[in-house]
Amino acid sequence: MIADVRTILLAEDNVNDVELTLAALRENNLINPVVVARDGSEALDYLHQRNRYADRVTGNPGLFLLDLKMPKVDGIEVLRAVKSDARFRTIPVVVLTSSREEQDLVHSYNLGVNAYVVKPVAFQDFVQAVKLLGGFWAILNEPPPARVA
Amino acid sequence: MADSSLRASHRSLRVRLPLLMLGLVSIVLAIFMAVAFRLLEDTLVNAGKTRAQAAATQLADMMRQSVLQRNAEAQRVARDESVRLLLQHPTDEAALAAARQRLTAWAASSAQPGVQVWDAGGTRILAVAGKAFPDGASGAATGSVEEPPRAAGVSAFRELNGVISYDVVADIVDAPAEAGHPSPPPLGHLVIRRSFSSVPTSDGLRQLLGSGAVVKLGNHGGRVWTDLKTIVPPPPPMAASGAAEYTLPDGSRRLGANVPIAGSPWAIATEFPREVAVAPARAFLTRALLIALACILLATIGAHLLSRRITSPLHELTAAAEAISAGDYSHPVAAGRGDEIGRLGVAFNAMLGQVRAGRRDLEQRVAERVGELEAAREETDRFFSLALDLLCIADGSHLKRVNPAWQKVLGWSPDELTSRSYLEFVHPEDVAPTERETARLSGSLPLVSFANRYRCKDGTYRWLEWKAARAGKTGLIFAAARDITEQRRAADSQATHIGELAALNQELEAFSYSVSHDLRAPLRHVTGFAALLDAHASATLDEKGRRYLTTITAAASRMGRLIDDLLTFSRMGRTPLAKRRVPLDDLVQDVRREVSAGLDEGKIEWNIRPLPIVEADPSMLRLAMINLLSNAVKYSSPRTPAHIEVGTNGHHGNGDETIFFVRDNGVGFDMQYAPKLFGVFQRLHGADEFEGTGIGLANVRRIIQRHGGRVWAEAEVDRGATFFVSLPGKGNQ
Repeated sequence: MIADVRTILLAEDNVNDVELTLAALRENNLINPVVVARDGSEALDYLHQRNRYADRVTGNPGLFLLDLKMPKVDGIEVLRAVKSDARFRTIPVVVLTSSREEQDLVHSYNLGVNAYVVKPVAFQDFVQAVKLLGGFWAILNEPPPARVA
Repeated sequence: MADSSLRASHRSLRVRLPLLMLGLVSIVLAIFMAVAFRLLEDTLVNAGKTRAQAAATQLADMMRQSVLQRNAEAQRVARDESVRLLLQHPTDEAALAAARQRLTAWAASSAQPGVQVWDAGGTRILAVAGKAFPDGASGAATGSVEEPPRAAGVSAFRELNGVISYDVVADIVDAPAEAGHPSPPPLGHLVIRRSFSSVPTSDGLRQLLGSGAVVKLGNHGGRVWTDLKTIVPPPPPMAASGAAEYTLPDGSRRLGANVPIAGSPWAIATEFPREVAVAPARAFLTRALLIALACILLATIGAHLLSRRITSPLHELTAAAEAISAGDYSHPVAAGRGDEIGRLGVAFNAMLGQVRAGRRDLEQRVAERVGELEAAREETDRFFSLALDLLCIADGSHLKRVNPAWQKVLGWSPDELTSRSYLEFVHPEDVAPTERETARLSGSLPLVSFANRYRCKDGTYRWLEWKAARAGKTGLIFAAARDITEQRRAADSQATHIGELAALNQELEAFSYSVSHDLRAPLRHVTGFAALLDAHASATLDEKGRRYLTTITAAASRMGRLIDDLLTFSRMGRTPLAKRRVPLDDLVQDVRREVSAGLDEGKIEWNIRPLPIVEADPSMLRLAMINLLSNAVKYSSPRTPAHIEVGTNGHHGNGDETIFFVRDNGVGFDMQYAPKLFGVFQRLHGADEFEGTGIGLANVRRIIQRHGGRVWAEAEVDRGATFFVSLPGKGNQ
């Protein structure tokens, strides 16, 4: 059953943000498994099933939450790689960022991002935002698990 | 001046007129005298001829008388008894002796001529020697005497031994002839032979005829002639009883006449030297010449006086005219005469006056004009030497004239600059472009501007910006150059500064990016974990603990807003403007709805007047209006009702700017803090009174300033505030 629930891939380097995001997802009662990649290259490893993800269960994640500012390979590069690869192009990518910089936004949309969310400072706002996102991409786009329903 | 008048005098009327008169008179007199002399001479020659003829005729008549006397003498002797008897009795000795005696006696009484008696048969019977026959016998043996005489009368002259002689023959008859009877033949002939030297009248004749006159006697039409003294050549043949003019073999010219002597074979000739005859003509000529000379002298003097009289005024006029042409106007001519010359003088004086006045006027005008030109040239020169720019006049290769600015800027003296081709001063890299520009100038373009580098005396180069024009026909180039070295340097350093500024901007952008990203993250974490803590442990916390949590969350939220505002402020300064026409009406209504959302609608009275259309970046202007209107809402919130007015204010506009304002009836502020109003983080009210980050108005000012406008405020404590915004350009309704 669990395997039926689509995996959420979260690329985020900051542990606090990871914890808060997971908390927000929890707050929204989302039970999708969440894979956390600590930087861009790890996220790409997961998608390509290589290195530590070489033997993971095959299949693309149901939702890719991507932070822009990450060490090694940053979010924009990851986005470009995902959207230029026919295998991953259909993965819904939501950019989660603290940045309100216009150039990031323009860049992201040019690369074909599915949504762009500025992380609100207030936690409840953040929970709200994650709820909308998770609900839309992870739940509404897929048949919900029978148990949840 | 004196020299020219002297030169002129050689050709002046005063000299030429007398000379002309002199020439004319001389020619006329010469012709007259020549003709008169010729006529007179002819007359005198004719007179001389007539005189010679008359004298010759007279003498011939005298000689005829003389011949008649000789004949009569011979006849008387022939009638003598003794001679008749001798012939009647030729053998009678007594008769012969008687006859000889008789004849010898007679001969002795009559200048000793020779006497002979011939009988009719041609035999000489008797001969008595005389002067002409010193020896009668021998004389009979010589020549013609031996021949018997042929007829009575005188014979032709004979010349024998330098002596001229002639015979007078008379018939010897028996008895005197009776009337009515033919005379009987003569018994014989008596011959009286005389030598010519015995003619006694020659000198007297010559005196009679005048000096130089020659009288000749000789055989008519034959030889043997004498001038009554010696034997002379016969006169030239001439018409009988005619006079003639002829030239002797010795070249002398003579006037002469030839007249035969009746009753004899002789002729008489008279002859004068021609010059004696025409001597009166010569004398006349001499006198006439003297008179003519006197006439010429008189005529010359008269002509001189006359010409003087006529030409004096002309001379004066000429002198005056010459003086005028030499620039001296102070000599009017005397005009006392009433004739044409006098009127000419008057007219001349009038003309002189006009010329003098005209000349004075002209000189004055010329002086004025020259003064003006001088002044203009001086002005130009002054500008030329004062100009800070480098001014020059050049031909195709050399500078011809430069102003002092050259030396000041480049260090070269004017001589150094003009003595070499100007290309020698141009930076080697700029020579080709400079030549190109110069060629363009001499080609089609009237004006070129370009820049090149010129070498200074110290070896450095200065940038000169040129404007050069070609002057019409002379082909000279007029050029002005400005030293733009400092500008170039400034431009270079400005470019550097711009580069640095761009780099700084880049850094600032990176910094802002980090701020927006990294500064917000911890805040988010603070609020996030505070919320988690609240959810997790609120049951175990007391009232105080929960208040702490709330404070932490509020402080973090405020920090987040501050950062957001600050980032916005930063972005407003960096984002490029995208101006277009913005209807302020729509914008303000839109913003009003936004800022009053969630408020009690009845609490605020909005008064929004018609607003213009402005040229602006809509999103930025919207942000500014949000700040202004939300401020108005915020600071008027204590009032019930709150009044907020938005409108334009014509009083502050001067046509080049559009002014509008936002006025409220809120708490206002003290105008002494007005300068602080638009600074970053400047607040005039406590945070507990009114919320705010202190960045809003700074943002407004930055936005308006970036549009080239300005913003200011007027307020009074508790009486509300008015914020004015001015944007450049004329707003449209």
